[in-house]
Amino acid sequence: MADQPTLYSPALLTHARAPQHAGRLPAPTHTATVDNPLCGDRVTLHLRLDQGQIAAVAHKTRGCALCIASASVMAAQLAGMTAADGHAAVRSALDTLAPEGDLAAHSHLALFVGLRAAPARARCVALPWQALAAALEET
Amino acid sequence: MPPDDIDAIRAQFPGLHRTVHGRPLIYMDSAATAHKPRAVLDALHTANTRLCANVHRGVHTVSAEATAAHEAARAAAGRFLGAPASEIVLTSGTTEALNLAAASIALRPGDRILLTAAEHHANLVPWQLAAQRTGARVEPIPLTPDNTVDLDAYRALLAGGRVAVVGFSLASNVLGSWVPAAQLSAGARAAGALVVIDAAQAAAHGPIDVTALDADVLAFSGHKVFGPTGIGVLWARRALLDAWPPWQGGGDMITRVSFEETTFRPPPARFEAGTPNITGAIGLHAALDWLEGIGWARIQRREAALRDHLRPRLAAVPGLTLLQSAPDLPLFSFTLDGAHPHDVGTLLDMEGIAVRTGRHCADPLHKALGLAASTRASLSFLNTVQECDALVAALHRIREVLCG
Repeated sequence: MADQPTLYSPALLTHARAPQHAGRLPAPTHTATVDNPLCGDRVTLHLRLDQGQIAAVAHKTRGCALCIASASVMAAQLAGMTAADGHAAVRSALDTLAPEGDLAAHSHLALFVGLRAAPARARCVALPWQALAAALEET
Repeated sequence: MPPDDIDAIRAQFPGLHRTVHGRPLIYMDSAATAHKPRAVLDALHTANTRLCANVHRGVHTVSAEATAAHEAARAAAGRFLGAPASEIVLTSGTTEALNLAAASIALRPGDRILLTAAEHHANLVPWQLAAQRTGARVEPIPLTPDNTVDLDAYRALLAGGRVAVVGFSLASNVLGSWVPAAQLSAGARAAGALVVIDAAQAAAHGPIDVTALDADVLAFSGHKVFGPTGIGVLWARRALLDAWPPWQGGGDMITRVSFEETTFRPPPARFEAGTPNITGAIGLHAALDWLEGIGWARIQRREAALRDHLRPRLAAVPGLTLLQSAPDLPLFSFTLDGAHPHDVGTLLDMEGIAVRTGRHCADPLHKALGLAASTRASLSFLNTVQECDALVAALHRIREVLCG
């Protein structure tokens, strides 16, 4: 289409069609499932922490292209993080997704820069990050 | 005005003449709320200027005029339903009206409340609350595989006895079809149950006559019939209204108040505590008059033409499945293989096309259909064939973007 929105860029759709770290872990140490009650989207996140660091990540995401792409982008950057690092990353992502946040300047959210034309969809991108926060709350 | 001079009618709707993402707005979310014609906007302005006063209170001229306008709206709502003004309670909308009815109808432990599986949450949750309070229970009337009410199952449910209430949406906000109201009412009547009708979706699409429907309670909202938000109508048979206790307490619904004893006005005032939505009532009256001026014949002719134009073209989009293959209304809920409804909705929005995505306040129906969500294009008679074609063309493009 002539002025195809940048939101659904080829890079985003690549993540959405073939998300990284999709699936489940055989022996997760931390798990969480979060839902978006408005649309029924659901992210189940599995983490395995080894000596305080995230050693393995998997997510099972039932949702829209934005939610799946967000889970894919997020999962790809978690290896080696401590729980404190993960919480900081969640805060940073959710702050950046807020209306005044600078998506283009955020290393992991630049893919979603087109979101400003569809502000109601920020919660779709936020859902995997909420799953990460919930999983790390687990003791 | 020639019968099909839709441009002249559309010109009365300032809200339709804007752009979204640089494109002319194509509004296909009328089932959520309808746009408002100039006649309604002018009435709202008058209500807040010349008629700005409280009602039922003042001896001054403006209050008397506002009271007359407010009561004229009640009478107009009654005429719209074929009922006397004395049986019309003005509410904030269909949801409040159904909550009032569900809270007021006398239910006993073991009573059964039958609701179709396609109900909007507004005609389900109030009954669940009533059931929790009284020990009654809510049971779904299932749908057939082609998503119409399963009348055989309904008869079997009635035969189980103790049915106190049968509730149904006259037209489904998801399936776009009329329910078999006559059979549902007749079955309820024979079983001694009350018939409660949610007409929120139906009211914009055809005449409603509470006597012909053999209903006991019926509700609709102003904002779906080209009126303002925040105003709705509860109609109930006089005998029911007389039997129901006060719902909310406050001014306007009382005759005498003392710390020892308070007495209440007769219906409908008994159910209208506090300063009412005077502006909304006056706006609703303008909307109902405006609808009458357009006429159901013209509305239904245009709606049928739009429906018949759009249906086969939607069905021909590869991967598109209609939830109801032959809806009565120009209302189409659908899924697109490989495309999440939210992505479809956002991509349509980028082209200026407003649709609803999600579960449309009908979670149980989506669950029954095995769907997480759907996309809904709901038209009014104000839409055009060109807009229908724009929707279909956009869906073909979106499919290519999302499904490769």
